[in-house]
Amino acid sequence: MSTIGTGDRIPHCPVSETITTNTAEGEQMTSPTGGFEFDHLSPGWNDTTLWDAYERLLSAGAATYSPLHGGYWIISRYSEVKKALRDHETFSSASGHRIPMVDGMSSIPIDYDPPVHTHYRSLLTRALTPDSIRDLQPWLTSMISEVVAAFYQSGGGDAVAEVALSIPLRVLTKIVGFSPATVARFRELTEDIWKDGTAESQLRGRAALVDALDRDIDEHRARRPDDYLTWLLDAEVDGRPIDIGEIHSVLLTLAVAGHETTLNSVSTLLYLLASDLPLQERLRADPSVAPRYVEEMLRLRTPAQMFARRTNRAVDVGDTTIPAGSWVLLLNAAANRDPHQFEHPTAFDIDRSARGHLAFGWGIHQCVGSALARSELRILLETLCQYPPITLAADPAFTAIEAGTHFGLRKLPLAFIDAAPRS
Amino acid sequence: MTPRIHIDTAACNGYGNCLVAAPDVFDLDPDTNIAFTQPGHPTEADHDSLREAEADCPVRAIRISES
Repeated sequence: MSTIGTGDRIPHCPVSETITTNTAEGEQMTSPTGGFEFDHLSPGWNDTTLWDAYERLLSAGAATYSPLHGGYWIISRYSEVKKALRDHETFSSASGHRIPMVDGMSSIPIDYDPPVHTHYRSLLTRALTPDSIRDLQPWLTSMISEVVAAFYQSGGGDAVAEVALSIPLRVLTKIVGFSPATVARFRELTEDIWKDGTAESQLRGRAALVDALDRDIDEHRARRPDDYLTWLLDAEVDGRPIDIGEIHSVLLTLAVAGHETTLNSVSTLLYLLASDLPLQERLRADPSVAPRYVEEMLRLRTPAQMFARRTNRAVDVGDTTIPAGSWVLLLNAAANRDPHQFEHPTAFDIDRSARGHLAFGWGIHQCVGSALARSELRILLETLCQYPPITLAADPAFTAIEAGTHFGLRKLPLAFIDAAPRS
Repeated sequence: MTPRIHIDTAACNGYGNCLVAAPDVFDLDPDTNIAFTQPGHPTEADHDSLREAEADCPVRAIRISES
């Protein structure tokens, strides 16, 4: 068996067909459907191979076993992924949300089960209440207008760096209270964590991010501005004061999950628009359909693609029994392309109902920032309608599955289709 | 029949899925982040969206009954 990302590599083909797969116990097991290995950590994924692999996984069976990274089960079908996401008692998060999980890389609240999860999650919802998101709308509108105006004035450029990253970083200064100098380092420091794929680099990268956060924490302790970060310093967890490790972990979640997901959402949305002029024209004719564009992008090209769980007991998934103690990878992005749930699933169709897509997850761990993300993306689309249409200025570059979860664009060179030169 | 909504406020953890499913019926308290029903609701017309809100609640804090 050859797989990319481990040992011998076949370039540009991160999946390889096999007739047999190994079980956790090392026995040979014949897959009735003819399984194939899937390596989410392969550096070889691209915009074609990834979606093809999902299509094959969806038709391969309800649960597929991969012997890589210590062995894990893959669940890709919509009904089964959703069932697992809802059943947090069987599909535990306490061992971590990544495969493989490095000791010391646990995050609040995603890597915890209730009741601890419940206490931790409320620390984050405080920053993101529906009311505060509603109040944020005018600020979001003016901030996004500024970002798009600057991008237009410079004649376009790399929309990943200039638009997709700027928006979430500015939001983080606003809703958390991070300083602009600190958020400016978040992307580089996050990339450092995953740079060479080792446990050491993850831990070293995390420590560097914590150092950056400590500056803002010290500043908040000294000056106590009226913002979320100051609130967090005095927060209670289940009736006792929060400790510094917990403060770091909450802030890391906001810093990393708070920019990476939106970064990929914005770049993906812009890519879809730039490669389809009629799609832009339809939006410009009626900007009130913007939320449909947002939901359909989230369904079709789910930015946070997959999350791990570990089984607390043996569980039947379709006609397969997954043993207790198994790692399981839930492919939300594949589930969102399941033909049994969404008709003609590979088409971007804003007339469909994308309702129920799993792009923000489902159940107790679902994205705490979904209302904020939806607002940012809708406002971005409405703002773009005030400018000439966008087009690809050069070939875009896609990411692999970053940090074992995220898919988006690394580079997206855009230009405006201008009727008249800018003054 | 008028649907009756029960919210288990001890279980509610402010997910806000009910707001998405039935925005005219539910809201979250800005201070406590706990779900409540807005005045004047629900009506029979809300039935389907109420069932969705019930099904979508991650902590099963919503129960809909007919009275």
